[in-house]
Amino acid sequence: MSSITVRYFALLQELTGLESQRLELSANDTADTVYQRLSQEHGLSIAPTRLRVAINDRFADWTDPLNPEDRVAFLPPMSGG
Amino acid sequence: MGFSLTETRIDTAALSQAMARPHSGGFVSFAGWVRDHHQGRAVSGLSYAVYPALAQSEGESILDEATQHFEIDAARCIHRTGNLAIGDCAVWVGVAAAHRDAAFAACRYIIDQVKARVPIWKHEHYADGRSAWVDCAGCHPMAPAERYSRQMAVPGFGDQTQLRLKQAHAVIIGLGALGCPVADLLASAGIGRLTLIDPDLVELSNLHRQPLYTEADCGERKVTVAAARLRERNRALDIRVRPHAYHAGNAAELLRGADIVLECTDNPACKQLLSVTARQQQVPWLIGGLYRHQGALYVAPQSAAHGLCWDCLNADTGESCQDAGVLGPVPAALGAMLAHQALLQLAQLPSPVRGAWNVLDLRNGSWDRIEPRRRRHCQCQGSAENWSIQALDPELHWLDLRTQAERAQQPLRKAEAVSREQLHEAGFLKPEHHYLLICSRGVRSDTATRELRQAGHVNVWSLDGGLSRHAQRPGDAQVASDCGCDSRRASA
Repeated sequence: MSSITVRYFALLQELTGLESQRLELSANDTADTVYQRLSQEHGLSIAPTRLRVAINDRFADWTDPLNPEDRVAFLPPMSGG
Repeated sequence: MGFSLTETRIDTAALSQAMARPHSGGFVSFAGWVRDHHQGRAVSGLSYAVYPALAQSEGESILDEATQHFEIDAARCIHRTGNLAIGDCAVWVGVAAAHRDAAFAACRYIIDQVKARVPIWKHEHYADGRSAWVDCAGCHPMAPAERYSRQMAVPGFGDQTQLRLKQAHAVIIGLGALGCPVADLLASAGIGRLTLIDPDLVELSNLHRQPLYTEADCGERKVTVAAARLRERNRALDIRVRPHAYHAGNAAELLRGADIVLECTDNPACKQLLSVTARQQQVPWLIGGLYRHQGALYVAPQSAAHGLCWDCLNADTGESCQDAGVLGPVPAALGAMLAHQALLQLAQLPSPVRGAWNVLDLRNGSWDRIEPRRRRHCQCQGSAENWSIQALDPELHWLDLRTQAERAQQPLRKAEAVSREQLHEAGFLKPEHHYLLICSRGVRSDTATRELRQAGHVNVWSLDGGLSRHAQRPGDAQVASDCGCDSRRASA
């Protein structure tokens, strides 16, 4: 079975209680569909419009397709500086 | 390495010293410190969470952009991670440049971009023992729905559309009278990425019609000020600035990856260039123009193959705001319409105004549709690839032989007014230049061309048939004489 790794940072790490998790990939999965499943699993109420997504350490689009062993991260609003 | 993350104290003195270069006449640095208060709450300290690989690459991209956009010699940025106490240096930016303007502008650009784009998150610890992730207050229970609730209630603008807007990249050329309301409304609507292009500084004479700027901004770069205002409006956005004109050298690069481009300058050459580049790159494009009490809007059809080039579209009066004047409400209204059309386009909704000029007259509130017509000889429609900016032939000097009265009736801004006598004065025509002679019906220009050629001036042509043959309706003078087709040289 093919799976991906999802990484959590900052607020999302706090809300999920996880730094990362493995997730089974379904057919035609995108960052968007994966986030929908995970927000149900963890009871997340943050809409994707507030977040950015990164795939394999690069900013990506929500509609980008996912491949086995991809590393996906959902990023809350940044607040460096 | 230009950008770095560190777990240990930032030594600003050593960093500053390392920026010295023989070529640099100025050095600007910014240091961000941990302060003891935030939005009225007493802060005791903070910690930063970071996504190291992405922070590194994004930080380096920002420094590369700064080096590319501003004339600087070196740029460096270092950001803390881990736990920090009050007074600690959290971030440091240093820029060395030959001159101070570029150093200040680049330093400002870097810190603004770093705060908005680099995946670093601030966790504040408060004196009362609580803590919170900064700027995430709005993340809880469906904040976007709250923020955009009135917008998302409009049919066609639900969750999916809002996400589409967030993922969209809009390019705005010109941050003046039209660009201000356009940028403000698109930022407010949640367009995820905006690129702002304008080389100008804010001037006192801008303030009556450019609401993003204040008196205190005079002398500052428009794009820098505008980006700061828009970030205050909507922090979630990725706003990039290009303090340069839109020109043939950067036209294609600036449109790469854009979902829509809005031309908001008062410069016909810029509109012409955009119409060509956007058609070639198949980026949806919109153009606005202003004249006293009136504003005109053109939204290109969705298929580039059906769009006309600027020279066919151009119903320009031949004057800019500077010459003709404009009242502030006109760009406010027309800018709102441009932004509205851009939202419809990005939301993939139909619009009845596409493919034609729409002219708004604020004196009586009229909104007239004018169908553009393809010029004879122009190949633009259906063959964007055959068209190129070469067609404008910027080397050609236009000489206008018409009388003052004729010129007043049908202005031709690009042409220099001359008399027939002047043409024959020794040294008036330069042998290294190429000239196009223009009059109303082509008789005077034709006669003068023949006389000049007999006198040995070979690089002189006449606009065949004059303006009356090419102009389709009043104000079309520029349409015809800007024409890229070969007809203007036919009578040579």
